[in-house]
Amino acid sequence: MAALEAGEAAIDPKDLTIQGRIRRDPYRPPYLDDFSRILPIVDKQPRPHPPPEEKVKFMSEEEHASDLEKLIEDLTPKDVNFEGLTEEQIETVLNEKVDFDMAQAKYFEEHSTLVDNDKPSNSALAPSLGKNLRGVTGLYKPPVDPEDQGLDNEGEFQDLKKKSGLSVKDIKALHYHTKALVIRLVTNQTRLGKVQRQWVLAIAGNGNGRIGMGESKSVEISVATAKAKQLAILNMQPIPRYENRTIFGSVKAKVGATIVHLESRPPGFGLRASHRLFEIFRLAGIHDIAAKMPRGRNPMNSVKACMQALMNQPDPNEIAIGRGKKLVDVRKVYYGGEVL
Amino acid sequence: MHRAGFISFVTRGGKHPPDPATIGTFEPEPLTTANVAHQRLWVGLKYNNNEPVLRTMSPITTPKRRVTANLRALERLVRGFDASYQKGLGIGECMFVTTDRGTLEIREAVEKKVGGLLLCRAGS
Repeated sequence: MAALEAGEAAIDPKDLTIQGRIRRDPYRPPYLDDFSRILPIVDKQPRPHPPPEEKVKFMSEEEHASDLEKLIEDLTPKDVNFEGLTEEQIETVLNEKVDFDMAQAKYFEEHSTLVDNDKPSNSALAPSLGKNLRGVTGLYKPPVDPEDQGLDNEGEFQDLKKKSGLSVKDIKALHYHTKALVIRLVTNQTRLGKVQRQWVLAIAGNGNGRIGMGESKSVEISVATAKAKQLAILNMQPIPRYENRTIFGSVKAKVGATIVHLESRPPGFGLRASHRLFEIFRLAGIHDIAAKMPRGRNPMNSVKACMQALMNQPDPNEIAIGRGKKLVDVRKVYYGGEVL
Repeated sequence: MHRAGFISFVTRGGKHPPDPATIGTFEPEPLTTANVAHQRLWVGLKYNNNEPVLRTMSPITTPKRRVTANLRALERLVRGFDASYQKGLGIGECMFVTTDRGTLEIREAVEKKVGGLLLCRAGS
């Protein structure tokens, strides 16, 4: 009030009479600077209570006992002098004055088990219990393995580490190069309606002759992608490469209506392939190849067919053994073996 | 085909196949007018790691359409380029050519510098 009065005193009365107007238009507020009342729509609600404490603890056994003692003390009626009364009289007086059933129900249903937390609060949030909670910490979070050198504190790669036997450092290096190549929205028609999920196909490779493919489905695309990438790392397999740069001969693979035709190419040719196949070759560590898809170019089938083709390359050594011949690669015969 | 290693043996025989175990000493029965009509060629197929050694085979020259190739065309084919309306040879592929030096595998024909009639191509 004092602030308001001071404010009013600061205004020149002349200004007030000339410039001060009382609004009479239909949109005027329903009050004339009446700060004695709180209008629930216009004014902010008062928040008289202090904010809840940052860190609260559960009561220990002694605190529980003293809390209960205090509660019983509060329940006992103050206006009765119990001195000189027999036990029966005390019981009748208590039964009259105190509603024991209600008090019991309130104690079990409403009474807080936190230290100092029966205070009224402005916040709808329960007070936070802090981070290191006795009996809870360590139970819902995988323990951090010191072997991981702090690389996986979230426990994201622990499952993969267990399954693949790789270290978290290696997994992270591979995971960095994984790529979700195909993402589709798939729908399951049930009697309750359409259930839509995301389907993700990811590939992983070490860029040096190992490649893997993983596919996963989930309502959440991030979950599906993470799972698909993990499966891709898990499914990594070596593929044969000629001179660590191209494939052996020409291979063809068909998945559905999609045919993928791969052909080996000389050094320096590069990757001439559609963008998805390009990613596969890059992760597989193939540097010279030509790929053709003469028919359908379905994203999923093209990736799957390409993987099939890479896995099913002819092996010249096996062919030579089958025919009883000796195999010699003459590519490195000329120019003193100086080939790219 | 036998020389190229696609098949384990090829022999003339009667109605029943020769025993593969004793094929080294197998002697086909002498031809007579009585059994000549029953004679056939027995071919031993080869397998390596449960995979057939001879997987694909397709004729080039047919009775209706002869296809010949000169030495230049054969050299191109051997190096994997297309020639004489034929696709170049891929990995593990062979072509058989009938020349005036006999029926040869295409690499033998190139070595002997002869062209001829393209019979068939075979691959694994």
